[in-house]
Amino acid sequence: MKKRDIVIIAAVLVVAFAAFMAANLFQSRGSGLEDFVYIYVNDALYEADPLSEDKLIEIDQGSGMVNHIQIKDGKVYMADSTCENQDCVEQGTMTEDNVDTRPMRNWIVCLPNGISIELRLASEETA
Amino acid sequence: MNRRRNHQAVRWLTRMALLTAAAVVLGYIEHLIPMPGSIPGIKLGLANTVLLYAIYLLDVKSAFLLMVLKVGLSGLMYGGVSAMMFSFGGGLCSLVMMLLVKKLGGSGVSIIGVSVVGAVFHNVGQTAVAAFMVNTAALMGYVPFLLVAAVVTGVLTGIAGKYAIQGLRASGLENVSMPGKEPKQEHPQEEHK
Repeated sequence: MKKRDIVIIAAVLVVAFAAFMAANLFQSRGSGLEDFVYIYVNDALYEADPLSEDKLIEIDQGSGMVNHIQIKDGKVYMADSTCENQDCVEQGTMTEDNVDTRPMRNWIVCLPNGISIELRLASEETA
Repeated sequence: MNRRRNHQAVRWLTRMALLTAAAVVLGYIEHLIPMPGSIPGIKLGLANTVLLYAIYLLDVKSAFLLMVLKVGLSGLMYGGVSAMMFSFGGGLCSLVMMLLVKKLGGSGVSIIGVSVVGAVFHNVGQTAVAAFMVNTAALMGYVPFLLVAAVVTGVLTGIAGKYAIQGLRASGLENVSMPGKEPKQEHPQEEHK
């Protein structure tokens, strides 16, 4: 390990810390008095549902791309997905209480099928 | 002379075939190693040791060819098309930056620094490809975790690459350049602690 190696590593860590702070500052804010689940398909808003109402959402994009998103008891998760890596299913469940501690915060993302789920909390809404 | 060039071409071809196989297998073995934490997309990057080898002991063209072959073959065998696009974005970004840092950093940067840069920009490249496909805001919160993980995995693969290159040099398997090119004279600098 040489001097410039240390410089490189330090620089990366500084950028990571800055990005972490920036992500905290610009977290998406809610837009209602209630917690809402926003579902995006290929970056376009597909639908928004209140977290309080249980619902099973099926998104069938054809050519074998099917996702099921479950909203239940104040929780939301990807119930199943036809994607090859299943990362979205493994990203687990989002609730009002755990979004601050999850690595991906208030998002569940399925890259292969182009689906992202955002949980917008009413309590996050500020001025 | 012609015969010597043929000889060199065959040596280069077999070397590339071996390295491609090694990269694909290392990429596969990686899937079997469980990573701590539940952050998707984080892996050791063992296949990068092959690219480190290519950067230090082969030439730029061979390194690019290896990267494309690795991404293509892994994608065909177990990744799928979207995985292939992510890998290619990551691989290209990573390789370009590793070559740049090695060139600009000179003797001040060891293979470990080059490896960390490779790991970081592999993630940057993949995130950039992903940003085209899904919601960008979701990805940005994810970047800091990827960067920190890349430092850790980059150091580990750098150390692995260092010893792999040392071993291969000791066995006399080195300096096989693309046909028509002069073998590289340069050797990776020994570590001074």
